[in-house]
Amino acid sequence: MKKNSFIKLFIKNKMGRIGMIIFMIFVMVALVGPVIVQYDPQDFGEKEDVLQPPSLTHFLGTDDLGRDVFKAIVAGSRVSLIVGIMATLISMVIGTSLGITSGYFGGRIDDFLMRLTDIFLVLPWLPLMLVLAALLGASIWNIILVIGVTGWAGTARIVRAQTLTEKERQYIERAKSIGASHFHIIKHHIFPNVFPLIFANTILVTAVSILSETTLSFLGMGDVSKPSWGTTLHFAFESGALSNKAYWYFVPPGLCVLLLVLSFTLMGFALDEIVNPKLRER
Amino acid sequence: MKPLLKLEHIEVKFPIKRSLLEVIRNTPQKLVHAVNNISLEVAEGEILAIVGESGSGKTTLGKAVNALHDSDVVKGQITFNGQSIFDSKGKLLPEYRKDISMIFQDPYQSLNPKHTIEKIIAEPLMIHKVTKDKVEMRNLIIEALNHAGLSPGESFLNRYPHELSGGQRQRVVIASALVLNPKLIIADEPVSMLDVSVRSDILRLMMKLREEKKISYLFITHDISLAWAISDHIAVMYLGTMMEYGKADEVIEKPLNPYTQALINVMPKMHVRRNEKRVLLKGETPNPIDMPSGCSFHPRCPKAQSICKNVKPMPDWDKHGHMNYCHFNEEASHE
Amino acid sequence: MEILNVKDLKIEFNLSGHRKLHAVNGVSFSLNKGETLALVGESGSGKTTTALSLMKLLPDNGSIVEGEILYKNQSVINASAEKIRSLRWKEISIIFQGAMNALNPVLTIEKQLMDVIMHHDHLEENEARIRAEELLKMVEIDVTRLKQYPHQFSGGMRQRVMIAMALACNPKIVIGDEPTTALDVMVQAQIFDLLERLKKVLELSMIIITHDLSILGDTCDKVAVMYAGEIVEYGEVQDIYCHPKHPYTQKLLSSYPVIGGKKALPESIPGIPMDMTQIPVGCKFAPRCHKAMPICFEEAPIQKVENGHRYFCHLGGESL
Repeated sequence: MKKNSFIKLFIKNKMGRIGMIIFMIFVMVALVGPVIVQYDPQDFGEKEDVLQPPSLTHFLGTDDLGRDVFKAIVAGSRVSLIVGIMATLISMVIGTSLGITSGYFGGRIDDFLMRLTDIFLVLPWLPLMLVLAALLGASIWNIILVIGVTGWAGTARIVRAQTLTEKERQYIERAKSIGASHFHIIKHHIFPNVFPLIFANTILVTAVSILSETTLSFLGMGDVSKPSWGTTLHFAFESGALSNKAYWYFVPPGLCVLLLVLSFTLMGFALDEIVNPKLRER
Repeated sequence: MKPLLKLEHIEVKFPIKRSLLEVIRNTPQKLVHAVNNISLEVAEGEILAIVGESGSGKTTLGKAVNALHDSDVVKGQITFNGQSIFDSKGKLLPEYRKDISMIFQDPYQSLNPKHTIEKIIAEPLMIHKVTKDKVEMRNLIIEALNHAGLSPGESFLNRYPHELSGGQRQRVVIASALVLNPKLIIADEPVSMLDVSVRSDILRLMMKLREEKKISYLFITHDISLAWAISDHIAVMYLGTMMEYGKADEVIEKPLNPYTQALINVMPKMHVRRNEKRVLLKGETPNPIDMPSGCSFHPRCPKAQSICKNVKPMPDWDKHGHMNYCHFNEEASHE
Repeated sequence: MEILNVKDLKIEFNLSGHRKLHAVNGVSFSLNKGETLALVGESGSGKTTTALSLMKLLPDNGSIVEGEILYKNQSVINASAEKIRSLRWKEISIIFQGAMNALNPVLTIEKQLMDVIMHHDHLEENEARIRAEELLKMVEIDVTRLKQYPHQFSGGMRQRVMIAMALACNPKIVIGDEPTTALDVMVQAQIFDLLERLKKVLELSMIIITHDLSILGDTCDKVAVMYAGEIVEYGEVQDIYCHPKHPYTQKLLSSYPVIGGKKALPESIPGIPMDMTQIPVGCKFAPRCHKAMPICFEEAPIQKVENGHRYFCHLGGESL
């Protein structure tokens, strides 16, 4: 597929277009926002500032410690995006390398790696993440690591399946008959042909990673010094914002998570349709 | 002429993966007998055609010569230029890969769609580290393209396989096979996927390369008429066994083996014979897991006797180097 | 007795960007009862399109723009949708190319045969089952194999099942689209042998679509050689083999080596098939023809007829 037609197809796709717009807005906020809006989680407000509804001074009101919710969300967008993307990268590297190794070499290696993958697939990932996060301690890097290390199994399965198809291609046999090494074949033939699928999968996994991060932070495993949307939700829950009907405290971060995850899901579906011609609408 | 390639008692047997239950029950390992005890020679500049239907093991044999199978499924000795292709530790001699090349059946499948023609032909040069100099490499690629009839070669460098026709793609495959100056090309049904109009162009190209570069061919095909038209010797295979071998004209004009006779008989002959009574073999090639006892052709052979069922025939060579694998050699040749 | 008559058929496909692909350009032929006609040509010559139009099975973007198809003296082109439905399979059926690989892997052969029978004939299940058995006997497969699945059948066996399906509703005409491509020569000969016998017993007419000229002598009565959507030569098999008039036919014939004939490398046809979106003025084959004269590029040849042997060429039909 030519690169131009790929972009054209993506923009033509309604889901892809909407997802892309939402995603770009969040990226802008994450990049520019913290520069314009300074937010310090240690900067507690005065007593009269506590749990104020939205006003002109506090765009989205204040939390139970008198901090500006809008500022918290702008700062949180950066954390949520970074964690989501970094964790996904880890998942992708693990999933892709295990998937390709397993599919390409087959035999005992395949058996072993796939059983390992099965274990990770059926493990209840939430308790596992909680345990790992608790063991490692609450830092943003640990969260990235925990999400990345637990989220690769699905990718490995998909990549393996595609590798199995790819390795039967005649040009692989041709390369072997020329005397190509396994490394050469994987680098020049298998990986480039599996890549579009990995890319589409990455987008979907990012959505899951962002959701995982929110969950972990909401359950109090987040890094308090770098509050994400999940952390904000955590504090909102802790402080009883729900029973106090302080909707401005918990609705905005929840909505942000929802929109961002939605944007990735939409883009992922769009990409899936493009790289998977069977799904492409005529 | 001294043989360039010598195969001695080649056997290829693939184990069938057993299910867990079978492993526990300890049922014996089943094998696919793809190639059974084949000995052949290819001289310099010679074309040897290997003819057989699907399931005859001809492609498997070609791959064995190309050392594409795992070493534990192939038995026998392969000698190239008087030297075994494996060293004492069972490792393939690296020069061998440069001396042989393979052309595949389907030109749509044998080129990576994501690579340009330049990259495709550069691949063998890169793998064998022929040159690091970019200009020299490009010149070699252009030369190979020109040799393969894609001229001017420069104009093809940046194109992708999907922009080319079937015939042109097969020429690209040939160009990439040529770029290392091989001595032997294994061609597995190189024209059977092509339109009739381009088929002969590719064949002519292959013949031209033989004249110019003294390249030998192992030409694998299901089409015995084509084998006759282009090759020096023909080996007819059935169920992994070589049934007949000899000079192309002799095998076609005086076939000794009942299988070869049947095969030649059913080949379309371009004359009207709708109402002629023909001897058709019954059924189809059985699967090579449960091999028939004795002569593997006996269940379908019109001349089979009880001995064929029980005893494996011995290859019978006459003084002209014509081999027949059959118990009834004399009778057949006097017919 | 004439059963099918096609007159001056023209078929176009609408492509994106208001372009038109002229797939079939004025094809005429007739088919008698019990006769086998071969449509021969390279890929893209319009042979399959012609055959599909006989049952009005063209894809949505294709349409018959001119000409007439008469089945038993009744127009197919102007027939009502209901008429067409009763025509398909009951009068004309088709063995699609590669269809043997399209059998549903999870259904038994019996079920798939019965589905076809019940869909077209509205028979009860019991009757359909009996019919399925009959059909399988007809194509010489052991009836005990009815309950088996496609993967238990070899390629040749599956093709026999496809023939059985095509015969399910007693059609008068069977179209075979490359019925033996991808089969081994021995199996190919068996299939042709079977078709030949079935044809005699059931008094079928057949149209065989193929790119392989060499098999015609084994199956066909008449041959229509197609190039760029036209029948460039039409005649008895014997005449086509022994006295081909059109340079294209001559070239096609010499592109196969034949055992018993002259031992030589097969000949090639230079150039590439015509771009079917643009129709040239002169003879369509002229750019690739080894005998082309100036007139060939200026004027389309008119049909010449000699004893039922028809061809389109400016040359008077001298042999090679």
